[in-house]
Amino acid sequence: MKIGIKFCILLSLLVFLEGCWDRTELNDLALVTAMSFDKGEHNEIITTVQIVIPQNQGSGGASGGVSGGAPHKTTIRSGTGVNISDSLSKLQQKTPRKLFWGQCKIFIFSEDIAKAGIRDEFDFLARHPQPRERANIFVSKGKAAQALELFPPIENSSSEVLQKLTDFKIGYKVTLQELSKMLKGEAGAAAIPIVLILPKAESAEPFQTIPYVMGTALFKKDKMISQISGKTTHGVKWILNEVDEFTVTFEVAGNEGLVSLKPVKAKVKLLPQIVDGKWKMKIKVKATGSLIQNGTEMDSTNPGLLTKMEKAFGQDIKLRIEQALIEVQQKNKTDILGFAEAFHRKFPQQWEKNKERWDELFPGVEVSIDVAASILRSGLINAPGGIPEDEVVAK
Amino acid sequence: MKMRRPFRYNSKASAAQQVPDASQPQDAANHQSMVLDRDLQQNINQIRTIYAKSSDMVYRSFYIEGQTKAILIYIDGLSDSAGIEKNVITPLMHEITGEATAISQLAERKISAAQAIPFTTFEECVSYLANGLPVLIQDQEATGLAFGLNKWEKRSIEEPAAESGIRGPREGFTETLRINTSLIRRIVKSPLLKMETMKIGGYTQTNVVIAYIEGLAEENLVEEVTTRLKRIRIDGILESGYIEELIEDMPFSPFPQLMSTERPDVACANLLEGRVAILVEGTPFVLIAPITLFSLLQSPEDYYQRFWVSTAMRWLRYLFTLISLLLPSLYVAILTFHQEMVPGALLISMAASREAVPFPAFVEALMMEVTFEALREAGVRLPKQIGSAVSIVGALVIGQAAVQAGLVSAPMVIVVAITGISSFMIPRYIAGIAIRLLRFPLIFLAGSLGLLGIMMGVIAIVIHLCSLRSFGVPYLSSASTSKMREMKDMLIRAPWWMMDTRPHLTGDYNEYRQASNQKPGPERSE
Repeated sequence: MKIGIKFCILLSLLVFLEGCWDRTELNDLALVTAMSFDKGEHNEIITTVQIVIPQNQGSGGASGGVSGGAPHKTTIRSGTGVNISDSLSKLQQKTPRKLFWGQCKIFIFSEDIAKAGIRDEFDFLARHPQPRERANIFVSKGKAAQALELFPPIENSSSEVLQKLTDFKIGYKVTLQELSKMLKGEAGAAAIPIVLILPKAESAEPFQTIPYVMGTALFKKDKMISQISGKTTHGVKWILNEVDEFTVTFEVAGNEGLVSLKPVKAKVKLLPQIVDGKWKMKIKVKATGSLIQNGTEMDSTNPGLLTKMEKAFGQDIKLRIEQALIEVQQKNKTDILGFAEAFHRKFPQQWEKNKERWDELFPGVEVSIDVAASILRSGLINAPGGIPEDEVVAK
Repeated sequence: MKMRRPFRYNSKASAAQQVPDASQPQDAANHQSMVLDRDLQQNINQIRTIYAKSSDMVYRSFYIEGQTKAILIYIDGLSDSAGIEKNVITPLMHEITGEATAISQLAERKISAAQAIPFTTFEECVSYLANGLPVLIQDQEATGLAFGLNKWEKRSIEEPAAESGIRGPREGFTETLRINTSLIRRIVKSPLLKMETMKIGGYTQTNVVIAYIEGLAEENLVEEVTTRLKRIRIDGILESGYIEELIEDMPFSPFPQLMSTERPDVACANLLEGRVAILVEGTPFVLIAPITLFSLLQSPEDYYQRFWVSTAMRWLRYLFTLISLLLPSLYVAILTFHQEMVPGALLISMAASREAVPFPAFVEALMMEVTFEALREAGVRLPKQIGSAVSIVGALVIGQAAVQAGLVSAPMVIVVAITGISSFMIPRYIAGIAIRLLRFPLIFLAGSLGLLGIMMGVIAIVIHLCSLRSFGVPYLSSASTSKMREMKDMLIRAPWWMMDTRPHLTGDYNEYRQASNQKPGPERSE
């Protein structure tokens, strides 16, 4: 019994002496939703955070009596320092609540930082325990902080906009963890999506617009070397086997008008070969799609015409991939396509010998594209809509 | 430490000597072993001494057939005076047959009461009187007769208040032991249903019945229950809760180790599974032993509804049992330690609602939970007319005004409300209370150590549950056994045609409860 009492006292001491050392009330936290890094005039780092203003969230609790227009739901604040840690400590001095970025899912590097190299910043993001590994990384055209200072008309914050846009899987998406893998990977190349600011609607208030994602920045080692357009990015996504919910629009040879398919799904395989010391890559694509718009006069239920369409579909895919290859492989010579891993896996010995020369080898890899495309569903109507039946090409 | 002195019920009588057994009355101790004398007057004097200063005693003296002097003694209000008049006094006084009037012959020839029990000691005599049986003592006889003419005001059989249901019998036990035994006997008609009686309580002399079915209940279980009951030395038993606390395996555990039920069908279902029921006079709550944690989470209706429904309800109950134990502490832990675990949008709306609240989440949770418990307790104790006032005040004050005043955040009110509701989903009120109690240490742990604290708390609870036993049966036995067939009445409620065996450990003594292969269907012949 006595031992029991002693034990109870010790146990309660354990609880109470511990003193909630890690405890932070929600009211004492500044919830950071996005963070951006810019370069100052004298090469210093300006860290900008987007902070949620809980009072202005509208739902729940007592609503503040802000008169005139909807109150802003977020605010931004910046700190300047010699590196991220320094600038963050400066930033904390200007923020009465503890910066909490456990919920920060957006990191944006400005273009000039990206061009100078992100190794230093990346080390901080990967080493510090608070940033999420699944946070999205972006590069901005111009000043990164601008993207945070927007007040989107629909979403609560510009960070939410970016997050939802990347969730659509239409654009390219890179998380902190993926970036870490790319930077460490065989190819020594990385790709990060680019954030632009949508010109605001004429009727909108100042700053009432959204950031959006278009195009991709190409990195060699940790430095940004160039960028590719949104269309090329799509081509890259084909090679990376990240095709999902794509819309593909193409012409069918010998016909006027365009055909659109959605959703287009594909399975893409990279088959590396080394023939007589020549490095070759075969890209095998198996794509399917559903017809959603037929601007031609062809009857899509006719098997012969459908095969024609499928052929054009395959040709279009091939073209997209080829364009991406020209941009990425020939012009920029950065292997963000996963070729290095594919060769390493299939030919470990040769790779071991040649991995130092990969930068030279990569542009010379001969790529052949093999597409098997099919249209599975032709929609709710048979003949092309909107024209008399006798004008329909049935054969 | 000071030496413990036995508490004295009667300081005068025991001032001089050491009391050997404090629970036994001391003043009339010497009548116990005395036998009746042949002298009537001496017997009357003896009884008058035992029942001195008792205004409710009735002594009716008369002559049997005008010859032999006799006295009829009973306690007013406990016996059926009309029945006494009709069945005892009238035949004895007025039917003059001139036959022998020996006491054994009286019972056989003259008295028309249904029960006539001869006795020879004062101990028996007092016991009969106390139970309302009128006692007849005759001159020149050292044997008396007690008649089964006890009758007192009793509550009629009603629907049990604490265990109502949609489907199933609506009869509930009452305060009268005989009614309760009859309710069980009416369901289990086999003579193998055994009911052993014993008296517990020095002053109250409460009748306690151990009911079991011979051949289903293990003999050593019955023996163990009997031994534990016999060990009780107490002045009085007012409710079966006394017995429960005096015979359980681990007295400091918050979990009940005996189940109490108000329903005869529940008691009989348990008897059929090889368990033992303990019926106590003066309370409608019958104790069942041994039990497991899962039997506390089962409702009698589970067995009467379709098995799909019962299975779903069971899962719902398990889920809400966990919620009832963990939700407030999880809320506190996540809000004060692990903000990154909440989805972003949810965290922001939580932050918005917490913005005006001046207290830490931990204090908020504790405050609200205590208030809820207070409201619940007040609602139970108050008379029904005032009860509604409490609920209105409760709903307004903790529901709305507190949120509007900025004292409490709206999500916390929701958490407390869900927790409260979920604890009422546990069919056994006592088990619900145990879980509600355990919630408070968990909130403390969550407020000081976060999820780590909750894990520590939960592990401690699980270790405790693993070591807990109810009459030797492990508390988690149906979950911890490797026999898959035990899951048929725990994870799911298997249809009756699949429940061929009785539960493990209590039912192993007589394994099969029904013929196998009874799945019904149109193609079945005969």
